[in-house]
Amino acid sequence: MKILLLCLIITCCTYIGYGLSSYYRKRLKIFRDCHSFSNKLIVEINFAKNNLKEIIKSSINSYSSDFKSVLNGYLNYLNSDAKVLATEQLFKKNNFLSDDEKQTIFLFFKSLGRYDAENQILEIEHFKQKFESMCTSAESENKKYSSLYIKLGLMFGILVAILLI
Amino acid sequence: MFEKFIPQPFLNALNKINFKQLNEIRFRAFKPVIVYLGGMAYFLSENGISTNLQDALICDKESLEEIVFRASECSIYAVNEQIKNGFLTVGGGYRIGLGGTAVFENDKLKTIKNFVSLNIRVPHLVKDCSLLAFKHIVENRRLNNTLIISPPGAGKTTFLKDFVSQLSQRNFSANVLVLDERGEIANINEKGESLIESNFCDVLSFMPKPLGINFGIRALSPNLILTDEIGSKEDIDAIYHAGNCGVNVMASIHAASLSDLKKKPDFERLLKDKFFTRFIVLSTREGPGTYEGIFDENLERIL
Repeated sequence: MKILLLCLIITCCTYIGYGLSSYYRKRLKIFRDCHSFSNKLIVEINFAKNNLKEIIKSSINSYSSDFKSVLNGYLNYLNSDAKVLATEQLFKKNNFLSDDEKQTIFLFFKSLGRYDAENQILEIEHFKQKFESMCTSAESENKKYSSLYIKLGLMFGILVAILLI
Repeated sequence: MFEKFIPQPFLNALNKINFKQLNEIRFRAFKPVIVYLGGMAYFLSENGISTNLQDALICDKESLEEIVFRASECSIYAVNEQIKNGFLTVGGGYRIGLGGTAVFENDKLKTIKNFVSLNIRVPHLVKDCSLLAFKHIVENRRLNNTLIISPPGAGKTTFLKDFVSQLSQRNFSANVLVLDERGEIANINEKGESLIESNFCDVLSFMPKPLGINFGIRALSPNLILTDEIGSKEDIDAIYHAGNCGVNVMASIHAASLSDLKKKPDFERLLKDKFFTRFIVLSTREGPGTYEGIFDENLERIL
């Protein structure tokens, strides 16, 4: 019984560590999604010239839930009669991005659909580069801290278990 | 349909006016919005229309950009070819004429930006408006090549739309190809449905006339090609090509009268060769669609 309880404590602490590290995973996922969405837009605008709503609707399910929520916010704006896109429309409950990162994503969406194909692609390419560098730094953050939190959680669990023994 | 691209304050005002009489809405940056009802101009005001400038709703620059953005289904890149031609067609046949700054690159028009004026033309189906001319166009179940002549806004497109419906209603089973370069005649809505009431009609949308005529003859074997606003030498060559393939043509052109038409250099050949055997002249004298006369191939008045 005691061993079972100790195992449970270790598992719980590790899970808390995993939970804390999700902050970094979420950041990495959303930047990767931004990057892959940019690629998707470039292809669609270059060849099929489908409209934004169609492009988003056809691909929304392939992204993480956080980016999906951003896309849904943008779709709501497109379907509304609002004159301007507001940051709050895109980031309803998002606490893992800094204001600067939110601003970059916001400006990316704000620029969509406003130019002819050539300039639209140039604009997307410009943001794609920003997303690439965001991805790179989020990846190294994730490597550094994500496993660290899990390890810390595990070690803390073991420590508590040892103390309890 | 307006709610998809007209900003709210203007939309509220437009909802208060008689839509059936509405021909045109003109938005100009920092100027009052003007609506044309039954051919007469009024200011758009909060309560609908007004003749008092002080009541007029003023259009700002952002509203113009927003109308174009929304009308392009939020994807200007997808409609840039239309924008380059100076207009944008919205599902249902609304045509938005664009005024702004042209952007050139290597002597080629790249796009139009900084929109400063928009002219939204409201399409209407006027039932039986082509009836008076119908018996002169279709004689002994044979079609005459026909040219509809009128100044802008006098009902050319409405005439063409009604004529296609009249053919179908009379079970005249000629296959009609509507070559709808600006997306105005067939009024194809966002579901892909055409609002033309015809069972014998095929539609080619947004294709230049010379290409469309060649493509249409090969792919859809029409008996009659119907197209709007011919003008260039290429258009006329394509029409000749259709005639040489045994396909009848009905087209429209901007001109106030037959004498104006004669002055157009490229049309001399058409008139000399008597390609068109019927000319229908329309005007706005008693409202859009007023018949000024129907003429035969010798330009002699029939009606």
